[in-house]
Order: sequence, then structure tokens, then C-alpha cells
Amino acid sequence: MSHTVLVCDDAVFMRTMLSDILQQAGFTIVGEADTGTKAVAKYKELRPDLVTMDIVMPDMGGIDAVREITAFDPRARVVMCSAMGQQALVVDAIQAGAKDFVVKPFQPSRVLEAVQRVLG
Amino acid sequence: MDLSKYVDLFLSEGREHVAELTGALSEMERAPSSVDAIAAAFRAVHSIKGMAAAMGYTVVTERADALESALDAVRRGDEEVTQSLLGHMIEESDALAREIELAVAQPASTPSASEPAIEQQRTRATHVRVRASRLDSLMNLVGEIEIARGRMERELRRVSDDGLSAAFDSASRLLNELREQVIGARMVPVGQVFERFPRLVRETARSLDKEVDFTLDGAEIELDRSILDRIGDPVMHLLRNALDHGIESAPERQRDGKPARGRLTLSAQREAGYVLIRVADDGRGIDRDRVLARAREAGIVTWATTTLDDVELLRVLAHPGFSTASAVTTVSGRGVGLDVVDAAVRMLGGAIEIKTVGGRGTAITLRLPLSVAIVRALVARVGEELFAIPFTHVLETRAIEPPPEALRGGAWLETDMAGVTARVVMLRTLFGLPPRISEQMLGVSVLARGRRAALMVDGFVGQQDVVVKRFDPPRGGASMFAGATVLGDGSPALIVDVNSLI
Repeated sequence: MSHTVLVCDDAVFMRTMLSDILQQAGFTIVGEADTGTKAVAKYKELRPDLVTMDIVMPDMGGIDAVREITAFDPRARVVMCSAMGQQALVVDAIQAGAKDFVVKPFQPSRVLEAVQRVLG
Repeated sequence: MDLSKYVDLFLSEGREHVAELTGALSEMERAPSSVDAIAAAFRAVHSIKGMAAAMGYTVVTERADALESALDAVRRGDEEVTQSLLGHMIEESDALAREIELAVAQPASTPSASEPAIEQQRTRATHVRVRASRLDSLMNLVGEIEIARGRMERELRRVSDDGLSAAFDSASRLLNELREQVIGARMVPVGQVFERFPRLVRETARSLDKEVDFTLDGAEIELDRSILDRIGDPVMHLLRNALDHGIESAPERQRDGKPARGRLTLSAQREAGYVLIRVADDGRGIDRDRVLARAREAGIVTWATTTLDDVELLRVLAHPGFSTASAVTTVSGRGVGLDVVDAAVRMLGGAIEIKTVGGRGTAITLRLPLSVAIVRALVARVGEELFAIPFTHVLETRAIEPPPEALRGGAWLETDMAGVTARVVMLRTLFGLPPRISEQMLGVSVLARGRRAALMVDGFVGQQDVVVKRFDPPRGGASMFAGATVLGDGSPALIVDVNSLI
């Protein structure tokens, strides 16, 4: 059975592109979220194998969302996906519980590599 | 991974984010310390940056990145929200909005310098950079082949061979297509040159203490690169004129019952074989009485002239050195007027049109040919020589009764044409040939610089596309010619600069 993924990003464009990359690699996208709050709620509801998380989102940022998700499920596997310029937040994200960090623009190979490593 | 399927999504969502950004920035104008507005603006720019980077739109990415940094500084409290910072951010968001449209309109020409795009190889494979001079040579060669085709066509009529004619026709069709392609290769969207104007307008408006909403329309309309390069300054001049002399100050506007913020629009549109570039404002309009008074003093119109219609107005304003600026301002300067714009547009084989309504505003339109290199022209004979008259100016050809003074050898005369006094130019006399006057002469009715006139010729040869070869006018002499060309039969012809004759 393929791995399930929850894609969190406030841009439809980004969610679509990421979903395409992951689906083509055989993953199943079980849900999408466009805010941090929704990301947390969806995680609790769907219990996906993997979460991709944008950092800058309305109402609750990605880092706070990771913190809440890992508080709920310490084994949650989250890969941060954010635009360049946010690298300074890598440490915050990792401390919050993220397992890896991918910088936009996404290289499909880089995304899959990070995802496989986190799942592996 | 094929990026093309994401283009529509990028555009629609990019526009949404731009709208959010604009909304957030105007919220910041009202409440500079609104944390929510600052955060919303930051998020919108951030999203645009991420999306643009994913699409490989470097220019958009860099612009968004710069604006994001500025907003980030505000968000972190390192920078205070001042009116000037906000003004700058609004300019930047406008620029960003345009870059998004441009990037989508021509994704491949966006240079990818820094971050590697996912599908950069694809872009590399389908686009190459070509020196402009090489495109010019291609255009010239096409022109030369056109001339050779004309010669071939004449020869063909003599031999009348069906097989040869069919072959000629197909070669001819292919040549037409080739010409279209070569012209197409030289076309670039006007947005490439116009992109700097919103900022310029904002800065100028600020320095003049005027409130102006600036709109740019038709940035995607394409124009020959060599024309576009030459109209940047004239357009800038028109914009400055509109801001300086057209749009009134906010108190003055309110006193006249108009919205405090003036409107200034720069638009481009295609119309038949031309591109129309229009600068329109909702300002006070041009003061005809003042222009008329100056024109009388300067001897540009007679003292008997009591009114100036749009056509006459343009003629006066385009008169070299004419200016109604009563004070030297840092913006427009005195003595630099519409004549400079007019000259630049004429050089390109274009024409200016003006419409102004007192208290309501002014619109100045530059009518430009799509390509400078080839012009459709009427070929006329004067004496033994052939002359090409560009169709930009030709209204009709007709029999005209020359005014009696023609006999006395005047070159520039006047006659009554459909109830209006029109200038009649006796080309024979002008070119130094003895006058040959008959009751009915052949005339080309033209419209140039807003005036109707008739150019009297000895005969018509036909119409054809001519390749313009520019030359420098003889030293000291005012040139009556815009260039030279070689006709189908190999004979040279001068291209008449109609504007200079009117």
C-alpha cells in the first residue's frame, strides 16, 4: 500500500505542484490544508504517513503547526517546504519536530529524496 | 515535469495574491501599525515568490523577494511604516503585478539566472538569444528579395509560362510568410519598455504634490523592437506633460467638483496595421485660448484665426519650439514640447493625434506602424522620377483643379477642398521642374500632422510594399524625404516625408 500524505500550503499552485510530484512517485494524497490550524485538524483526522508543511500560512504558521502535530503524535513525519529566504527557520522547524527541509522551487528529485529519507 | 500546465493556475492565484497584497497595503495606509495587514501583505508576497520560483520566473521571484524583505523588516519591527516606505511598496506591488502578467505572456524570455528552474532544459532547448543586428540583416534581406520578386514578376509577364507562373506564385506566398515570420521575430511586448513608467509616474506625481492613479493597459501588445526603443522617451515626455500641465492639484480638482485623485492611463492597442499608444489624463485639458494667443504672437497662425480645433491645435503644439509652459518646472522644462515627440514619431513613419476637452482631460495618441522596415506606399511619378508616398498619410487619389497661382510657379499653395482650405503642394515645382499645369491634375489627398493637403503629381504607378532605406538628409538642407527604396523594376525611388511638406 502506498504511503499517505497531507499537503499543507496556502497556495493552491504549490499544493497542486507538490501533489503532482508525490502522486507521480506513487504516493496517495489524502488531504490538503491551507492554514496551520487546518493542518493540525487534518492531521488528527487523517493520521497520514507524511506531512509536507509550508512555513508561511495564515492564522497559524507552519512551525507552530509542526509543534502541535508532534505534540499530538511524537512520531509524526513532517517535511518542511518553504521558499528560499526562510532557511534561517530550519533550526526552528527541526526543533519543532520537522524531519527535513525542502526549499522552493522544488526539484522533484529533491522532494522525493527528502520524503523517502523521512519515511525510510 | 511539464510546467506549462501550471501556468494558468500560477496566473489566477498570482492575481489573487496581488489583490490580497494591494488590499493589505491600502489597509496599512489607513492603519500603519496593523499587525494583521502587515502579516497578510507579507504572506501574499511570500506566496508569489514561492510560486514564481517554482515556475522559473526569475524576475518575478527577485521582485517579490525584495518586497518580502522590506515587509519582513516591518513585520519584525526593524522598520517603521512611513508614507514614503508605503509608497515605495505600493509601486513595487504594481511592478510585481505587471511582471506576473509579463512572465506568463512570455515565459521563455524570462532569464533564469540564479535559482535553477525545474524545467530549465526545456526553456534552453526552445529559445535562443539572437543579436538584434542579425534580425535587422534578415529583415533587409527579405526586403531585397521582395525587390527581386517585383523584377521577376515583370519578366514573367513577358514570357507568360504557366509552369513558371505557378512556381513563382508559390515562391511568392512563401516569401510573404517569411516576411511575416521575420517581422514577428522582431516583435516584443510594449510592457518591456513601459514597465518603468508606473514608478516614474508615482515619483513625478509626488514631486509635483499631485495625487494620481496610473493605469497601464495592453502591456502585452507587440511592437517592432526598433520602434519600441525609440518611443520610450516620447511616451515618458507625454506622461510628464500630463502630470505637470494636465492633472490639477487635489484642491483645484475638488474645487471643480472632480475626484481629488487624478487618472492617468497609458494604453497600447492594435488597430489594423498599426499600434496605437495612448496617454490619457482627466486633467484640465489644453487651454486653447492660451495656445491660440501664443500661436498668433509666434506667427504660427494668422491673426484672423479665432479658434483652434484639435487638428489645428496639434499643428501649433507640434510646431518646433512652441511651448505654453509659463514657468520652468523641473519636470517638463520650458521649450521642450510636443514638437520633440512629433519629430520622433514622424521618424518612425507614425503620426500623432490629439483630443482635448477643457476641464475634462487630454488624450494624445501615437499611431505607429508595426514595423519600420517595410511601408506600404503609393508610387507616383513626378517628371521622370518615381516617388513613394507612405499609406500612413494617404486618404485618396483624385483629380484636383490647381489654384491659379500654380501657373506663377508657387510650390505651396492653398485651395478649397470640400469646404475647407487645404494646402496644395506642387511637387514638380518643389523638385525644381518646370510647372506643367492643366485644368484637372492628379492629386494625392493626404492627412499629416492633423492637416489635409493635396500633393500634385504627374501620374500614378501603383501601390506596393517598399523597403525603407534611411539616409541622412543633405547637410544644411531640410529633408523632404524619409528615405529611399528600390522598386520592383530595380529603379530607385525616394520616399516622401509627407509631414515635412505640410
